[in-house]
Amino acid sequence: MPVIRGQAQVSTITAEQRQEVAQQLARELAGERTPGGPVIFEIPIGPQLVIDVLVVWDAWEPFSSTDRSGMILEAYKPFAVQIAQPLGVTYHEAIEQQVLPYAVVPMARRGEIDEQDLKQAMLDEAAFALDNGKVDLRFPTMSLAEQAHKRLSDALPKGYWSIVQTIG
Amino acid sequence: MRDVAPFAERLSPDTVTRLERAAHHRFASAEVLRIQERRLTALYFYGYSAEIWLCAAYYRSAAFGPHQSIDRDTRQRRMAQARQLRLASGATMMNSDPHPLVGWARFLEWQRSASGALGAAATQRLKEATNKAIEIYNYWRPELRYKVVEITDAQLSVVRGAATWLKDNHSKLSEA
Repeated sequence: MPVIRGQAQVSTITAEQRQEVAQQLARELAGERTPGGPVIFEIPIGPQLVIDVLVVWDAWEPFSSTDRSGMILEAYKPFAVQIAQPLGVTYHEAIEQQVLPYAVVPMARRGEIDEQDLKQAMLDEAAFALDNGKVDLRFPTMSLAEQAHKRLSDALPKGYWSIVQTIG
Repeated sequence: MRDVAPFAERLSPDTVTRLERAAHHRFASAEVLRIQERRLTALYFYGYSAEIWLCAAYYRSAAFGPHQSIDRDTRQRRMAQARQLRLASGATMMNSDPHPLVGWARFLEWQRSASGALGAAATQRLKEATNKAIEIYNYWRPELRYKVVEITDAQLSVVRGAATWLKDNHSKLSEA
């Protein structure tokens, strides 16, 4: 009988990699849009000025949950004390864990509006560019989705925008 | 015909206080059912009371105010974090079960440790809470509601004992 041995998967992260990711996160927080950068959601969770920070970014892949949270807190200094939960997830994890349950989608029929215009408008709203060429515009709360929905409806009314909630 | 909003849409969001009250109600119902020898349903409700106490203790320890609302999205993000975190064994702290009783106990322990240094008594209490959750989870599953199986007095006694410990200690689980 053959012997099938599993290989332990150990990801080694260099100090340079860590620094690169941390610096890109800091630049994004400062308002700079970087290629392949994260989408950062700040979600108020109580009457005080306390927020959950959700950072959706495929660059998190090799990092542990604790590392991701630590890097988010570091990037937010000196306002880190206002963060109730710093959560870093990849796009795939976000979908799997249903932390982005509200999708804003165009309901226009083919030919009614230039598809590139729709796609660009969604990317401008921080949609995720998928490998298959499609884009996915998602939010962690209905309130954030409604705000994006309004902006898109005002800018491109022929997109016939809709909000779709994923229920697990 | 008059539109009637579904009952679920008219429920208030969870808060720590409401969760704790709900846990007391589920436990009280379990006690009544136990006396009536409805053992399976009693076990089912003891399990839920334990899950709710652990959730409430977690949110309290994560600095949620007693009346601060905890909506579904907020809960989903907490559970996402718990499902990312790893135990020393390499397993995730919370599994993908929709009612991860043991996961909530471990996540509570992690949250308390992350919030600051814990005294020996608090550390022991949190470990005991996880042990109680494991004891309950040996018998309890939400799927019990679809089943007709015989629950023995001994099995019910184990679950009741663990749920009673959580009832008596839940407020101390978020204390230093």
